[in-house]
Amino acid sequence: MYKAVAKARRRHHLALAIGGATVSCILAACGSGASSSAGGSSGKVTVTVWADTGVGPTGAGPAPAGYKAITAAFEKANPKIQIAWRNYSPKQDPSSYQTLLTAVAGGHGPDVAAIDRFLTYEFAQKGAIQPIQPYLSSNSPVYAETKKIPGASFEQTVGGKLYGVTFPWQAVGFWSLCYNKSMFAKANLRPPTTWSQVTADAKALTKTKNGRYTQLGYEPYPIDDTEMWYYSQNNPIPLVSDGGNKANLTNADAVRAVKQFVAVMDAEGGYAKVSKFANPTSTLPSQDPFYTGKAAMDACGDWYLQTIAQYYPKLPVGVVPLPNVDGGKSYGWAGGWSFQIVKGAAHAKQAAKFMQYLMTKPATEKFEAAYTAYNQKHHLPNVIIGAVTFMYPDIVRHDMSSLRQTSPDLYQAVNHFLSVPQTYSGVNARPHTVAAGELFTDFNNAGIAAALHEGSPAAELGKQNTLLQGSINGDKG
Amino acid sequence: MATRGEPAPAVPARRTLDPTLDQGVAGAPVGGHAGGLASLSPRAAASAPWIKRRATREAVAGYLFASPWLIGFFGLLCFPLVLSLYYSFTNYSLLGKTRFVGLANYSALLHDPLVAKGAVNTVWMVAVGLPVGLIVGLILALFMDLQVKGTSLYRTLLYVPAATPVVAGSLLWVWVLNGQGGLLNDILNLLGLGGPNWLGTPQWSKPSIVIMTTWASVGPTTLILVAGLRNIPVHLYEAAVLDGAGRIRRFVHVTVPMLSPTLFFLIVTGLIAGFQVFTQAYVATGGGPVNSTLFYVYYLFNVGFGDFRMGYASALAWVLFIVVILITGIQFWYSKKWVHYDQ
Repeated sequence: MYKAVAKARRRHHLALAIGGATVSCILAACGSGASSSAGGSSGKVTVTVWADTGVGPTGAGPAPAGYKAITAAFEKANPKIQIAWRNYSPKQDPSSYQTLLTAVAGGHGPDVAAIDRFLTYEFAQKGAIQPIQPYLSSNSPVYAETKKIPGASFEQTVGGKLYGVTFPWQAVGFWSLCYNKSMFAKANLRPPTTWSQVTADAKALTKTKNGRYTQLGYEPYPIDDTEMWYYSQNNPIPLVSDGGNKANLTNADAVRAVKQFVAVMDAEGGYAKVSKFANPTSTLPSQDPFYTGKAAMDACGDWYLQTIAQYYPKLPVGVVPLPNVDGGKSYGWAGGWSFQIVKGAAHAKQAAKFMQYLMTKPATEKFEAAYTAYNQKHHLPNVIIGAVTFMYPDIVRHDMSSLRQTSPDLYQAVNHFLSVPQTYSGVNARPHTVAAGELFTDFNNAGIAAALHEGSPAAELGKQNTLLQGSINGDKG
Repeated sequence: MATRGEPAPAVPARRTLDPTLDQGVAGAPVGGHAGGLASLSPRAAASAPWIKRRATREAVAGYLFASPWLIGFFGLLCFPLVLSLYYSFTNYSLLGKTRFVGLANYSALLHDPLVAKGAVNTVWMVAVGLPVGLIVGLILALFMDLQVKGTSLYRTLLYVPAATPVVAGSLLWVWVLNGQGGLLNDILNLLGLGGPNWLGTPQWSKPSIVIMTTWASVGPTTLILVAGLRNIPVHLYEAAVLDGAGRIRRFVHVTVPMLSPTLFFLIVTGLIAGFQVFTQAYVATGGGPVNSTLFYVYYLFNVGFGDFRMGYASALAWVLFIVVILITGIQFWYSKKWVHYDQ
């Protein structure tokens, strides 16, 4: 009796152990989440696209409505291709790039990913993305349309090959100066055209009560982007030279730019206090004093208008070219994002087909129709802005009359970006370097350290220049 | 143990080959082998075929039961550990071709200013954060040891931060430490004290991280110290009182020495954790402002998963590993001079 029980118990234990081991192996095998696509018995191919909420249909608002429309139109025209969007947010969380690169390295990356265009060179050097060129015909419209967008052709071409596409609805930057019209009118001031005027106006428009700010004259740009502020003012500052291999943060123009930033911050009471009020570590519009009507000036780009239209349509915003040293014509600086085919994409050919479609005029018109319908339904100002202003300006002008009536401030602001080719003396793109991310972080760190008076602008730029050179050398090694 | 009249611990019957343990509760022989083995020598008993089969089956069962852990230990810990040592001598980048570079990575980190920055920041965190955590934990433990009403509730509340995910806790602190509308500065303003720009200036960013790490770790620290305090025999305090020792003398000459094994444990584990500080900085400051919270492990992470210089990151990891091992060894050696294990 006992033997039988003991035997049964042993078998039971063995079965449990084998079962447990099997389950644990299965669980371990199921650990990785990212997957690319599946063919399936229907022969349908799924192209996976990782993009931000504003660059895909995964969020709410007019842009996702537009993305949904063009995705549906593409899938209808190409029944064997399905587009699967997945939200990832490098704009909010830079570690998203690490997620992307790790997925690519592990062979579980998407087919397409949206990245900030200035990283194209770095990602191409790392071998994380592949050129779109082999999948395009020589007369593809992608080439011609890319050339229309300032800076895009340079940033997306590496080693003579085109990488990715800039979507018409992507912001292109063209850094400008946004200002609060009411605050300027109340102080009887006109928008500044030189940086010395910015310093004086920042001081005049900064107000405090019981030692605390109630209004800031000039708001430093959030996160690690104040460098664009310096960069824009004296473009083209050669922050790297020798084909991106030599850090050049210590050049005279860069030193002058940081000095200018320090002067503005000091005029407002010092960077420590200003940053406490402006909360530059947050990109949330609700925590941004310019959007919430508590700051008079801010360096801005075309995407500001989309945010204002959606969340702060009553904000009396005005936009003028970025001031420069002598008050002459500004030299523009453009940025923006692009879609890239990642290394090892399972369906690169189909991905390229979709990306090419995104740049066409029919797709842009479909996007515009859905975008406008959303805004009308929600009674929002219909601000159409981005690369489309350079590619298809007629589509932008199509609905300007209604914007003029509903929101004259935003109408003027959109016009500012439409007239960029006339108002700016030139445009510059961000440089090719293997340490693109570090370039902007290091330049920004020099500005903050100098503004906190930890050292002179030249000394702080010198320190950061050493770090940048180390990053360039390390990435190359 | 038995001399105190406590019952002898039950020996698990199935973990021995003693045949008498195969008997039923009443001690009566069970099965055909009962009593048979008692007459055999141990060697002969062990070599009996049925015992061998059974031992094999039990061994297989044991390994299968342990297999989830064994697979994890060897596959996810040992193998990557050895592999990372190899990678530290290469330019491994995950995406490109791997080339052996000898000691180049180790040589490069000696000249990397961000390694130095990360090391200085980390040492600062250990030098300030560890004592702060221990002192706060000890103060709370002394209060908890008073055994006032509701102690169990306080103990539970104290442990809540440790049970909160570090990322969630860090995000909470980002709000609390917000310079303009944060809870802490609002309270300081009510008291007439202008709070600093906690996370936005290099002067205050590291103290902010200390506050965050202390909040997260103080619960377990306190509970361990409370357990240590309750192990101190009361007669030592009684003897001290008879000798005329006041509260401070009793604390210095009785509590601290008797608590030294617990403090030693907390110092060793706290120091290892301090060298690995990462999450709070990653979530709250991104290593800034101006690299003031760029800790060693954060830089290692950036190099590995940002730049994909896995070879270099592996070298950084091994240097940290060796440093931590050395410091821990020194601590154990020095502990002989101040840690008292005698009750």
